[in-house]
Amino acid sequence: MGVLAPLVALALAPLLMGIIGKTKALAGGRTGAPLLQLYRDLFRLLGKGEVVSGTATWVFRAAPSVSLAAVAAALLFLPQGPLAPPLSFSGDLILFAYLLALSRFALVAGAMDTGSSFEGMGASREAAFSALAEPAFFLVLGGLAWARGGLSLWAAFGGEGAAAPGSAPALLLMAGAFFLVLLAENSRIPVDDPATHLELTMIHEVMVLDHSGPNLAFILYSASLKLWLYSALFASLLLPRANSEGVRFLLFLAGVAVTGVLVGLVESVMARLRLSRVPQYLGLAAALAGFAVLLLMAGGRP
Amino acid sequence: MAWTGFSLLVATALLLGLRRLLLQGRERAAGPTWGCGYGAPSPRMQYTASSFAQPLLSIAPTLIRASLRKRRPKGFFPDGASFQSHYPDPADRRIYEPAVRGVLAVAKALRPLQQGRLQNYLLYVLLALVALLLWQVLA
Repeated sequence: MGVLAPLVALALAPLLMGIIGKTKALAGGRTGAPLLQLYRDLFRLLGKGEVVSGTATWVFRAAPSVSLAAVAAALLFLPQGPLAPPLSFSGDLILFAYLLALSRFALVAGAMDTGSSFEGMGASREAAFSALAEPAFFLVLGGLAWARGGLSLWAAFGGEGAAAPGSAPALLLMAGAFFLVLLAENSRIPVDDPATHLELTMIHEVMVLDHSGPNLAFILYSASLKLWLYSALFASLLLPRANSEGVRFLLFLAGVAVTGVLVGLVESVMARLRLSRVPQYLGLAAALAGFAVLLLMAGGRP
Repeated sequence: MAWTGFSLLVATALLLGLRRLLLQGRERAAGPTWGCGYGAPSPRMQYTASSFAQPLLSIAPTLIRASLRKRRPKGFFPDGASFQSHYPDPADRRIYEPAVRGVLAVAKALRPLQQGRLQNYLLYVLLALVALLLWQVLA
């Protein structure tokens, strides 16, 4: 039972990216790439050779593997709707957050290793924005864990007590804050534009600019896994009760797909924020999460 | 909990192995780092520690007083310009350094007690003994 949850994510994560791309294309009046395009891209990249910069060392060559391994390890704690994760213990929220931070650190170290000013710029921006997103992230996760009485992801997001009546305002605020954090941590508009070609406007893409071949495949796959992780948590926040586990699981998958559509719509409608405004954006997320925690504390545990 | 560390190491090893396996017999070229087509990159153009920290530190400028030294280019054919930034650690400057200075000042004041003359040390032992005996008597 516990093994099934990570397999779902490992198999379906590139499909989520496909949904986002298709949404953006349809919103722009185009047909766009097929839904399974990222699978094809990954397969193609795994079959290619590699070009490595002359100034890069083993850090650069090993970084994508470490990054993907860290995201996959974080996946071991993630409940997929009603499916229990293989590993769960009290306090694994914090381990989860820092496994994702380890993944980001590996990418940042690899980016700084190339000695390019573009990649250093992307690395410093990414590090700054993820540091600013931490309060909102921990307020949502911690608040939910406190409300549901268990300091683990499975207790906070999965299990039977997932949706309780009377806590709807707090859950909606948390969902809003978490969606803002999702957009920031996965380098989506309004924090970063994944489709830009101008290096000075990139944050995440410019960090991975020099990777090629299998390394690039690892990076694209770990980015899609990370987006699946955040979308799964977002969908689990708002998942309603259902009679059977099967129905609940289908609702969960639909919720993740809807999250992808939402991300695609946000990307189609908005432009990227000025970089000096991103701290305010993340402050907004933290404020929403803080209000949600206040509501939870004032209303007693749901 | 040990499973996490174990699985992390195993996953990293598997991925590195997969990468090595895939790249065997394939073209592995070396090229210059992408510099947007600029022809003469140099090591001085990369990000330093100070520039890496700048986006995060620029949010609270009064807390972190950056010292910036600028010499701007002047005129239509400027001959040179320079920029130096230094971000001192506020905790270091305002908490740790004064505390350490205080402790060092007290230590310095006690230094004359230690000059290496045996008769002074015997005098200290005598004084300590007298003090303890007095304390015994008076308590």
